[in-house]
Amino acid sequence: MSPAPLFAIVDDDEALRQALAELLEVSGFDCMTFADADAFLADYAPGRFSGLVTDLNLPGMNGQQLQQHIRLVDPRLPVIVISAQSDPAIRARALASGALAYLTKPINDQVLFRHLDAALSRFPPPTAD
Amino acid sequence: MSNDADLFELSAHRRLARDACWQLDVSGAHALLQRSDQSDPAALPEWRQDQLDRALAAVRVRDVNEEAIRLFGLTGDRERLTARPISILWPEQSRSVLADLLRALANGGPDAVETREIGVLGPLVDVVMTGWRAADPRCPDIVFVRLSGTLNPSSALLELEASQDRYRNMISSLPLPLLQVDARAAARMFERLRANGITDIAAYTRDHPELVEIACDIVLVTDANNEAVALFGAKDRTELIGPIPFVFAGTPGSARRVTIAHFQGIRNYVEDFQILTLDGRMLDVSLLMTFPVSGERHDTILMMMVDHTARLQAEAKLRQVENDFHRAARLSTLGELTASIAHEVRQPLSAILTNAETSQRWLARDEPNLPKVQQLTERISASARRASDIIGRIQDAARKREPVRTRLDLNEVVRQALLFVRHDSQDKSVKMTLTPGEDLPPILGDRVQLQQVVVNLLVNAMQAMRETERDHREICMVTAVDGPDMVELTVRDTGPGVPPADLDRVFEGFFSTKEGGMGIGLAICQSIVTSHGGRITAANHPDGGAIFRVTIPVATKA
Repeated sequence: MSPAPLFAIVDDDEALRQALAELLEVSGFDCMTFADADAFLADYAPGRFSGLVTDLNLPGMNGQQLQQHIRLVDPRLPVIVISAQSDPAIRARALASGALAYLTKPINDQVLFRHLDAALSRFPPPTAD
Repeated sequence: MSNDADLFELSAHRRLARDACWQLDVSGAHALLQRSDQSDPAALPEWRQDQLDRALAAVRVRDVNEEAIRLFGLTGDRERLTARPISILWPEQSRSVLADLLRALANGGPDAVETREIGVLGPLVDVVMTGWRAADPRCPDIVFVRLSGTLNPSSALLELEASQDRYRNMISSLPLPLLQVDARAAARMFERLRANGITDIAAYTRDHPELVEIACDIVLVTDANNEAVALFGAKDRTELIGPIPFVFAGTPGSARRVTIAHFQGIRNYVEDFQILTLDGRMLDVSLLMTFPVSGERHDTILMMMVDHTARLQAEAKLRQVENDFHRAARLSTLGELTASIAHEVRQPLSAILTNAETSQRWLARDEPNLPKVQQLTERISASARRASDIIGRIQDAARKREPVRTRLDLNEVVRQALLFVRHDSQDKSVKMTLTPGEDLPPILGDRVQLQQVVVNLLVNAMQAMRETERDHREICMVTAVDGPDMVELTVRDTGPGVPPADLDRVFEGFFSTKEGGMGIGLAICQSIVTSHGGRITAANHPDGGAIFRVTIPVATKA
């Protein structure tokens, strides 16, 4: 039996980070939260996460840099970018870099779940060998 | 006027052009001048000072001729001298001689003529004073006094006269309101008070407030220049000539303070006060008085008044304009930070929405998880408060308001300012670090204004680094104690620095090297820092980048 899918949430805003974790919990998703990219990368291992939800504005390495980094080390990991900015150029850049979705805050929960489901169906969690 | 005719006749009869003539009314002085006994007139007693003063105070001027005005250095117009007591007009040295002469006339027959020698008077030497009673029996109390002498040819006296002319010219042409005051009568009153052992004039005037009134009524404005006429809104000079109380009408208590200063022999007296002009305006002026010291003429106290009304009004207006300007600059900075601010508000709103949706999901279950819902609604409240605080801060920053000084922690001011630019700096990949100094003493200042200084410096630093490689954009803020009285904040960026030639000019208004920049951010910083008693300087760091240093005085221990 495959392990329950685990999502990573990276956002420097504690209130929003907690809110997203609660939202995933009520819908039966497991998740871990991180305040910045470095904290996430410290816990990262290939195949550990079924998807990454990251804020774009992060202290230190920002969301875009994190996304580019993940693309190099784990191109199969779905990345959903969330941001308070609705700048079309930034959105286009994120999608061009391979983001599964670009969601602007405040996050529409149904849209988020649709993308989480899509992440799971397109990139099913690795089976335990 | 029959008295004029008498005087004219008299002068013409004597044909002495330089004779000075006085027409005096002695009706009030009978009791003081007449002897009760009829002993030998040659044995008249010496005057006691108080008798002399009282007698001469009771003798009133009816008229004088122009020669007398010149000879006695009288100021003011001929008609204004009428009814004044002779005591305040007659020179000290010959007062007892005059009293002797008047007493002899009072005790002599209607045709008596008395002559006294008084030596020197003004530019005259060998002065002879002649007195007689009016020939008209209907005017038994009118006495004429004529003074004749020869002009002292000494050039010193001519020089004195010329210098007096120059002095008069100087007063009249001085571009400041000036009153010339004769306070001899008050000085004599003070002498008597001292003779009676009174030294604490402040206490004495408290117990006898009427003394101030009396002192003021006998002190006379004897001359005024055109500036003073304009200041007091008088129609002409003569309106100001006379008793002095009008000068003190705008500020109760000022007359007493001046009286005390005069009594105490203070050389110069300065007071900022208000005058009530003759046409009813209140003006803020500085009063500057120089009192004569012993040996100087007591008839020329100079009172100078510097009108501050226009300056104070201009200052108030300037403050208003400055406030408007600061507000405009704040708004323009806030405008530049719109994205940052929007982000800042959207963050808690986003958390609120997600928490609300999660709550609904918990509630929609067959067995609602109420503890979860309670936890989430608590978080909703916290985020809503945070959003409200952010909006409050922005309103604070944008609101038109008078500065309010409170005790502030500089580190706290910097941290709050950072919230405004945090997301802007993340967008621009600028790494910001604050190294807060420990145990900083509090400063006294306006929170919003000081935040504005920090925000402006940070916005300025971020703009300076727009050509800098993204990985190298850094702003280091350090707060520290700077000596016993100051705290400092330094803001260093890793941009290209300020061209050395511009270092002195960066704080000038409308100085900008940025395209589209107003160039007022740093000018505002300087104006705010200066108004807090601090300093702001710009320099370049030896390792590159600009470094701005703000020092603010610490609050005095309350």
